[in-house]
Amino acid sequence: MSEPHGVREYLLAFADDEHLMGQQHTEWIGIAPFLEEDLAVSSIGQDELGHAALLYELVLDLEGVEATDPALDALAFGRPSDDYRCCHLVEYTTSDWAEALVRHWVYDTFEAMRWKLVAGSSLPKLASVARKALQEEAFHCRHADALLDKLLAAPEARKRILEALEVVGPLVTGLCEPVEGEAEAIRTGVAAGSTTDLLAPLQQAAEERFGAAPVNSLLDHGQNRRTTRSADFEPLLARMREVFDYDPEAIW
Amino acid sequence: MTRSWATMEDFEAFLDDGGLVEADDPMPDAYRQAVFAFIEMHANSELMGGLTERDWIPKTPGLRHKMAVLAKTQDEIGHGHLLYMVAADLGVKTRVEMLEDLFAGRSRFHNVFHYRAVTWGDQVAIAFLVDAAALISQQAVFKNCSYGPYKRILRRIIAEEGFHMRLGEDRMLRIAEGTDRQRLMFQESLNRWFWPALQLFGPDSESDDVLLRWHIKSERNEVLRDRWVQRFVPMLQSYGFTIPAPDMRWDAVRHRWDVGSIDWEPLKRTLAQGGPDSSRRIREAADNWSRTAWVRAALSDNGAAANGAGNGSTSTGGS
Amino acid sequence: MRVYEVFVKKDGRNEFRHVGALEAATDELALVLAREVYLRRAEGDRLWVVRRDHVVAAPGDFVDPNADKPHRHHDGAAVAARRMAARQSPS
Repeated sequence: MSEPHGVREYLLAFADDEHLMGQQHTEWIGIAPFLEEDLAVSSIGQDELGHAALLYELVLDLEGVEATDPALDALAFGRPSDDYRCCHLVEYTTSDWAEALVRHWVYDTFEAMRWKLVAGSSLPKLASVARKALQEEAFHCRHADALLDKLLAAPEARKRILEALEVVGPLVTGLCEPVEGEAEAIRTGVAAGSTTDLLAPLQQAAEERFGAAPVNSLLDHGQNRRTTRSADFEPLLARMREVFDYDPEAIW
Repeated sequence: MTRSWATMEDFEAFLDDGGLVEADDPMPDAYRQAVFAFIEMHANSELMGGLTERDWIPKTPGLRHKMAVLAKTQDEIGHGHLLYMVAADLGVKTRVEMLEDLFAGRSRFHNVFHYRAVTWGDQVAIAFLVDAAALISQQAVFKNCSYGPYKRILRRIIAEEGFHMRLGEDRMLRIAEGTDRQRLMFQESLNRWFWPALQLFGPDSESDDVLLRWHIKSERNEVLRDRWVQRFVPMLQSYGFTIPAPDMRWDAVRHRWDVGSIDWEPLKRTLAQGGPDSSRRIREAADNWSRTAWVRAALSDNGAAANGAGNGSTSTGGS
Repeated sequence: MRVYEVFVKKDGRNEFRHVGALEAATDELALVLAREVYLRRAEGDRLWVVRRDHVVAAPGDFVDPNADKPHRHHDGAAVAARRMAARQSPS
């Protein structure tokens, strides 16, 4: 509770990204292009939800609240929409597998860099979560790359993927946009640097991967801010809360 | 070891003696077809079960809870995968042919997955009642299964189903100990799912059932069904739920619950793809499959034959 | 897609065991996917995937003659009987 408010904001934005990214992966189980891929996408989803749970636990730690399931779920599902700090990339709802794959690549490539920023965190628990997450992220990236290696070499698939990049690309700036608390997090050694600085390496990685950069400029974010919610968010949150809303007293 | 059987009598004597058939054995064609059809239906059911559950996965109440549920459904799809691989090695249909038959409504899957989970309570009822019914059936197949590759993957499947049973029971208990609204929700789910789950075992086995004779099944349908009834009726009653079987009675002589006469019409309808959710389930699965055809086409671009050796003659056969 | 056979070993325990098969477009995808299909609960910590069309398989009767080589087994019961006899007879 003595920790500065900014660190909480910083962790919350990270947790919300992981939570919603994991949520998006859950939508693909059973309907991925082939059975082995159903299993892979489900594992990646479980990993991201797991990261979210650990990050929300850290937020509860800062608040001095025990991380029981109800406390954690109140934080993950029970906040007013305006309090969420996720980026629009993870709110974006799509049933197009090319878009889902491109997002998966962009998000996990960024995420691996983001975890490195906190791998030496002054919060020991965050540093230890980062070590676990980085191990997992290496596999997420490897999975996305293994698919893209093959798909980008096939003309029809390549066309679909580059079209998907056009849709997903404009959302990438918001991924790198820091929350207000980041300055505080850097000052207290919770994080080693700003996510803003990850934009250039992400852009470079994307150029190498796709031969095209999805990101124009950080200044281009327009409505794409962590403090505003995109149109996809409300229906998504309602879907996630449907069972909770059936009986607010219940423990499931 | 090379084996060949001059006559069906020789083959059946081998099976009766506890013999295990491998993919590259020269098994009688009728046996090959029967084993294949049985595994294909099991595979289809695992996959369609996963699709029944997927309707509710994104809505799972709780972050850690969602991870556990996702891992469970992942296992079910994984079972489908294992079974399709083993079935394909029998050389009757390729994996793609099996999936395309399923999505075209040309092949069968278990009756219960022709129903829709309309509440979260249904999701829990499936994990608890339906998975238990499936597990009872699978254990009986495993016990005495004459087809080696199937028996070996059943060991893995049954071990994973054990995790699912505990998850399902834990979620059911939370509801049983929960609020009135929760208990009402689950009672309604029980009303919807009790009979379909019971019918999963099928009508009483025929006396000349080849699946029994060839040791693909090891116990009669009615025996397995009764095992499920004797286990779940008292358990559900002890948690204060009502079994939706008005003619059910306690047989004090045999010390058993008797659920009364069973209406098999709903089961027959599902077998003809006429269940309450059959057409939506199949149509959506087919749509999703066709929307990702471009991915499979691109990944198959190396021109390699889809299934390697057709009848698994180079398969090392599991362990 | 190609069929790959999957082998798994738990450190310090047993030989590599065949656990099943999967379909994948490349060796790299086969490895990545095998982890999800067969090792979700760390059922092993070493993994091989082998293209099925690269497996050199012996025909079914290849080993049969070696099932009948009793001289390679040195019957334990016979040796035990002789040992017993030797101990009981005065030297």
